[in-house]
Amino acid sequence: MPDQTETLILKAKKGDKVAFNRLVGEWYKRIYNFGFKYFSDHDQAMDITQKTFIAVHKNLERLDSPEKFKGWLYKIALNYCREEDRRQKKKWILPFVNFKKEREEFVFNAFESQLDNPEKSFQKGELADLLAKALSKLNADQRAVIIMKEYECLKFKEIAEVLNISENTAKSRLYYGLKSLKAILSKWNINKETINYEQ
Amino acid sequence: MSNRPDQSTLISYLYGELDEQENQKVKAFLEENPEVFQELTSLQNTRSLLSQLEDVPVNQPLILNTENARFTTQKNKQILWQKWSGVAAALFVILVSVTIWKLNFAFEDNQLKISFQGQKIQKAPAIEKDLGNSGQQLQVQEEYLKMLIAQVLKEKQENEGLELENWKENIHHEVNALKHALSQQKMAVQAAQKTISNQELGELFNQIREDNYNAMVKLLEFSNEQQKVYAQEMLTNFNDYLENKRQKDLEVIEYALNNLKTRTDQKQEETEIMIAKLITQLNEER
Repeated sequence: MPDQTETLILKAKKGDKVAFNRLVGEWYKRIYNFGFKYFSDHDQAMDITQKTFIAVHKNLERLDSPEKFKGWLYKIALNYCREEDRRQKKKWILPFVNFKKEREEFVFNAFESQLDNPEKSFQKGELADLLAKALSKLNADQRAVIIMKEYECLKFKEIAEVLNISENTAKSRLYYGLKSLKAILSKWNINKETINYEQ
Repeated sequence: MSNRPDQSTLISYLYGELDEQENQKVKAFLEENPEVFQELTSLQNTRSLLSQLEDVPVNQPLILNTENARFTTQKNKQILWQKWSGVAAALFVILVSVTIWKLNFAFEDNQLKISFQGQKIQKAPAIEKDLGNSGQQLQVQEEYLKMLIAQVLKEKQENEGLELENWKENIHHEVNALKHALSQQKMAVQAAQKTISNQELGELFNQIREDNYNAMVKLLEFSNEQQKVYAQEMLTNFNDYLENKRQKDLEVIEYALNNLKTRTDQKQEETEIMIAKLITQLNEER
């Protein structure tokens, strides 16, 4: 965590709005990207980012020590991600059963068409899109651990605190998450060789 | 295997978060167990792939209204501070000017009078607005003004008289020196004109022209050679590029064909299975 963050937290806790806004500015991109990788969707990422920082604004006074801010922030963000997940599931299952099926088929066809012409899809930078989609295929717990470790560079201890689990469980989820991801990517014929060839 | 590191240790090793002793232990184990090493390598490759997913740029976050209000107040405070500091600076400049120039201010007969260098303000005869009595009064005022101008000029001359004399003397010396230099230059030019004949001058020009011509020829030859080398290099590079591109295209085509073949094989296999099932079903029905 940057040293400046701690100072900003202390000031923001005393009601300094400028410090709070700077704090938001410092962490906004990280939380947005966390949400974006979790959902692979801009609108949902924006939604959870805004909700997270509103919650931070409301509850910052309750934060015991600035050192815990990072974990606390990701915990709030993750809770909103889970809430959004639940909302999505309800939304899709009840009125749009057929639509969901169509949508899944559409996504699958889109992948097929991308894989039909790998050069074109890779050259257009769609690898990132495929990776994001691959992440979204993982189960929520494994996905959260992978994002927090690989992209947000949290320590295992911090991840364990965010998820309220032991460090060993966090490592185990990461292990299985990476294995599942490898299987998904292999299924789509995305591996180190194909990527290196394109580079 | 009893000494096999658990998943937790392997993951810590993968992320380089083990202490030196543990690290060495896992390394030794991996050397003896290539299948576990292979597994870890594949996980590391997956991590490398994940690194291709970069952060998405995002716009500036929301700004709270209260902050705007705070900024406005600060801005107003700043403007007020700047305004008063400007006024103070102007006053200071005026005070310094008054002290340096020894300004005298006086307000008499509805007139503001300012004088420099501590001169005492003399009372000027009042200018009557009534034009009927103006003849005599104008004459008095004119005489008074003349007297003032004469007094100022006299003072100025007294102060600057000596400086003017010195200045004139210096100018005179300078002009004499310049004249001397000019005459010397004239003499030198005349002497040069006398010594170089027209023929010699022509030869000199021809020599210079020849030298220039030789230099140009050399430059052109050198430039031609450089261009040839450059063109050769460019052609070679272009040829290499085309060859690489062709190879890559061939590889992509091969990749796509393999994909197509795999999918066709899969479909064929599925069809065969379906036909086999149908035949079995038909046989059973008979």
